[in-house]
Amino acid sequence: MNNDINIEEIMDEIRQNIKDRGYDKEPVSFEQIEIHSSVLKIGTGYDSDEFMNELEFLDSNCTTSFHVPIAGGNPLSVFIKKVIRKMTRFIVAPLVDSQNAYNVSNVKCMNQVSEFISEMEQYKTRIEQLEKELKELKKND
Amino acid sequence: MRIIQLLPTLSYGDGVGNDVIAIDQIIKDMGYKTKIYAENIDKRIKKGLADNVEKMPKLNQTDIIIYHLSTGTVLNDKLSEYAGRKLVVYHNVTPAHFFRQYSRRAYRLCDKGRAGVRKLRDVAEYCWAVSEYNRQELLEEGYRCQIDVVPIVIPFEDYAKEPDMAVLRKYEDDIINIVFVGRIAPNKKQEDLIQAFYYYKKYIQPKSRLFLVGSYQGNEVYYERLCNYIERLELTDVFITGHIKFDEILSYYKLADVFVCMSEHEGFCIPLLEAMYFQVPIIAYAFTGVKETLAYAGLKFDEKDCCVVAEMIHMLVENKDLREKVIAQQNIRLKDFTYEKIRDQIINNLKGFIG
Repeated sequence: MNNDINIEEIMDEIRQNIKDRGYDKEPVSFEQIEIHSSVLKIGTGYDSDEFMNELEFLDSNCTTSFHVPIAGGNPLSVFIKKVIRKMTRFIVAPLVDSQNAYNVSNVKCMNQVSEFISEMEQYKTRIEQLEKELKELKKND
Repeated sequence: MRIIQLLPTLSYGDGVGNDVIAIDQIIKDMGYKTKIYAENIDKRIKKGLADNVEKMPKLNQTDIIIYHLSTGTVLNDKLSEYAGRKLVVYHNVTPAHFFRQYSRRAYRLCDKGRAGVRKLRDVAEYCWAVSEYNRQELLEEGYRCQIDVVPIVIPFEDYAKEPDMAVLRKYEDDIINIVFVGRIAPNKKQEDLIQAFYYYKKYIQPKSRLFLVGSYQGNEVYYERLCNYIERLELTDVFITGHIKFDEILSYYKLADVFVCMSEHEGFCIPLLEAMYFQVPIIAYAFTGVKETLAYAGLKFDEKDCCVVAEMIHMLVENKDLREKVIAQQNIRLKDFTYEKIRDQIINNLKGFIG
């Protein structure tokens, strides 16, 4: 079926063209591009520093306010923005409140997880210590 | 005797969804009582065609369940609990490792899906694999039942619908359009296509565009990395459409000068047949299911070299004689997937299973 197309001939032409054009073999490889959403990485193991950094960020940024300052610029535009804020307050403010409540609850949960991990780390240290002692005892027997 | 089809999600317009709906009609035409049951049903699916799994009636031993296996789902675990004879249609599950860096959810679903494939080897009484490649995967997983290759049913009549005129008007010019259609997903290796396009645009044809047509939902991290890659390569004419309507997809096929597939894992790869339908010459990495779906058609390569791909694009665009030959071969290959052929295969295989 493939008799009509001479693949060898095509490949020869391609090889010659590549040679003639002088391709830059490695522009930027995809591997050089960082994955910014590194929080989603799987199988990289637990990193306590990363966990604590993220937790600190969550702790300090878990609430937001409806009262964003409206400053500078044209007085008319500031006035209109203030009017819009007042007019939408009845719908936006409850949404902000419930989002804040949700965020606080999430941070509380994450803090509990953090406490749990600390306890586990203490146990881990204790286990390692006991294993060491057991090894010493077996050696002395 | 009833024949029911079971699957986790019945989506509108996707490969598995179209296959399920086509099989439903074929079974009805055979004169059997049939119904589709799914855990999630797309709202756009015609009312009454499918019901939620919870509404599935109690089956008896003579009933048949056609189960569509394509992902990780509780149905993989539950299937053995249902009475009735089980026919498993294997659409393939992408190996989880592709998603390791990008999506915890996709990784888990694929990993669970692969576990499901192993679990069902003793549950399936008979299997359909949508390609020989899929059949080999089942054999490697230790399936001992009969496995027949039954390609996916493609609703080619849908492709005759009107394309979106706004997209056509926007891009119908003398610029060369390179197209790939498929989800933005790590196994499809869109980054390799971007690199091939970089060579093509920089060294061969500056008046060119690349369209990556497909949704990135669930693969946002990979999408973000692709966007950064495009930026680092200083490419200005790469367009990632995201999820678009069917008529818009048709427009991109109409605009395409060349269809390029660099995917490293496909069970079947329907877009190859779509490109064939729209008379778009194909360049593809001949690997997994792609090699088999293309068979003798298209320009294929076994080793990835983006410079070679760029030159192949150039040849298909410039060499009219080669382009016509490739399209002619694709037209012949497409005839292997006509509705009538697949329908007859389904009827014969189903009759054999019913006994």
